[in-house]
Amino acid sequence: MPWKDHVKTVVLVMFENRSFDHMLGHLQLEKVVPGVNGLQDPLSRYENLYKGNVFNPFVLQRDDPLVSDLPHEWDEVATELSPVPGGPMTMGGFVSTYAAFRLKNNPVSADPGPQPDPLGFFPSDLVPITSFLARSFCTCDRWHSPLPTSTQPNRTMAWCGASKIHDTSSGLRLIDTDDIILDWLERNHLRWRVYHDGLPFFALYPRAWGHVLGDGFKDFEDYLRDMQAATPETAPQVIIVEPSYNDGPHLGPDHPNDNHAPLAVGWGEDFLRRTYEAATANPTIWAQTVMVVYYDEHGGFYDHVPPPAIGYQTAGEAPFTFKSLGPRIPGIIASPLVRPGSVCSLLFDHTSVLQFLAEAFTPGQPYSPEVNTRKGQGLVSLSEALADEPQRPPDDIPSVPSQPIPVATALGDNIAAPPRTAMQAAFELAARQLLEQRPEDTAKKYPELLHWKAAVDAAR
Amino acid sequence: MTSTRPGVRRVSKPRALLLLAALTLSSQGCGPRISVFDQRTQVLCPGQEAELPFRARGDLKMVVRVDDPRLAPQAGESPDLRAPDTVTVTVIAGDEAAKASFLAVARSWPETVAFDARPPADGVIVAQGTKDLAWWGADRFEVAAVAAPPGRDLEVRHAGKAAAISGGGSSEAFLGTPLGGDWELRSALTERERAGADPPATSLRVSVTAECRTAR
Repeated sequence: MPWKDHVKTVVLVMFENRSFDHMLGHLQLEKVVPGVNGLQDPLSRYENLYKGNVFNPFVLQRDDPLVSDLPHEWDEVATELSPVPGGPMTMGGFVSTYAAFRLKNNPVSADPGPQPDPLGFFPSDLVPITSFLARSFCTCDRWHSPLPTSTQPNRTMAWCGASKIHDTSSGLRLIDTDDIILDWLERNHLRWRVYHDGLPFFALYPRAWGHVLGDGFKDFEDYLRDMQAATPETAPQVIIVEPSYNDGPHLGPDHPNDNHAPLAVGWGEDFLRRTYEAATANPTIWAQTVMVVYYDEHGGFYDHVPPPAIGYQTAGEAPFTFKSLGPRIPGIIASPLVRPGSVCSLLFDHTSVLQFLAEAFTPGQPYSPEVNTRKGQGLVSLSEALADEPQRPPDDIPSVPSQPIPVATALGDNIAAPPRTAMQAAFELAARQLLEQRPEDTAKKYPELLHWKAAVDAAR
Repeated sequence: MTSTRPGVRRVSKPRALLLLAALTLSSQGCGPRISVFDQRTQVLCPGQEAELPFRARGDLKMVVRVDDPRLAPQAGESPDLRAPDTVTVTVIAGDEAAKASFLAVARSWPETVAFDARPPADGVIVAQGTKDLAWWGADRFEVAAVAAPPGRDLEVRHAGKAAAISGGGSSEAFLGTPLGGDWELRSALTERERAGADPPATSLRVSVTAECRTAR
């Protein structure tokens, strides 16, 4: 029986800003997943040079918050990949880019130190849930972000299959797009849900506001309960799980868990565990589920694999041309249809997910002409990683580690400070415009935004 | 441990790290803030000590970590600091964090000087730049010997001196010159690079035997 007959629900979980080696490089180093292209001993084989000095990746000893975010805008990524202008991609410019970033943001602390943050990577015990999913299911070790740039363009490629923008740092901006995955789901009469832990990224697309305020968007806390009550006839065919964004509006005990630096990843690990627990809560539904865990882009963290030269020209009024994909991101496919502990080394980017959705739910009808173009450039569908038959008995659902996950965070808040990044500004703009333009719907759907706005306005 | 505001932490080697685990300093009043913190990484030669001045207000936490797990301190003990161990000191105030590192070195140690190379021109690869030890707070290191990697002949220029060093060989032409400063490394393409069997090197390097000035 082909895989299509086994796939009734697809769960998409996209985190923020970590590279493959940073989160999953340990799989090869610790020999927990055979055949994966991770980091190998000796780590001295991976070099970044800066001011005559040699820097190598290093194992993080703890999951601490970083001192700051890392550079990952398009011009910074270009240097990370090719430290010598016009030279080959050596993946050797992460430290020099980081030092320049520090110098620009805080000249007092330009020192990258002997162990610069971009080169740190997690051992399995500091990312227990991510590592568990990789060991238990299928690791995609050739999944690149679509564009060598920052969050907004890459997420737009993921949710729209095309992007009019090439950066995130163009100031206060919501994202213009002609079509979005939510439109595609509606057009094709598919059952879908977005479970969000806070204001979702989709709020940055005014085109999506009708959905963001509608019944398709539900609080993440409902996910487990909904799955326990679901039947194959009622379960959503597509579920998008949105974490709580570090750049989003926060107040009180709500803590971000999207893994965006400088966050410690323990929060995201716990969120991933709860997502997996919800996805597997109903064995009947899980038997026909493909859960995809991926990251929007590398976030300035080192990866040792140069991205393939698959270019892209943005669709905006001032087209911007990228000459390659972005660095590799962590990608895991969790499903009964993948072999336990397997590795898929086929070339994926985020549009591979859209190809897969179209194959699964609109057979014979490609997702979009843009996504079809990506396919023609060599990016394949996620379906290529699936077997035609389940790879384990229906009652064999790996139990997620239940150990406590230590998390570290800074106390206090910056609610009185204006947004410090373009992403924070965009989230704040979206929240304010939703409250202004759709006050009743927004207050009903996201009551926390009312409290957040009152606190922010009082503090500033 | 005691503290003053503004405060000075004194870290010396060996057996200097009496700052264990976490130290909480308390004060009342305004929001936590780190206004001054010297974050330069410093290299400590044997017998040397470093100061870590900082000025901060509010509830503070200081975390001192020895990154080499061999040196994970036991309760009640203070760890030895052995070359080339790294000690990181992090001061946390609210959502601000400042970090400084200390690297202990031996009296003499191998240090690589390496730069990304420009694409080859006329069959020659050139890599040049400034070996910057400023962020180590160190102009106190000097060169004893310079070695070329096996299989690559190099022409090396540094501190007004020049030497041709054959692959795997070494030279004392730079004896006593500062480790930091401008370096230029040149290499003809190897036979395999010329034949296209290997891609041209994207970086060039020499191995320098470096010494603390106090050693000579």
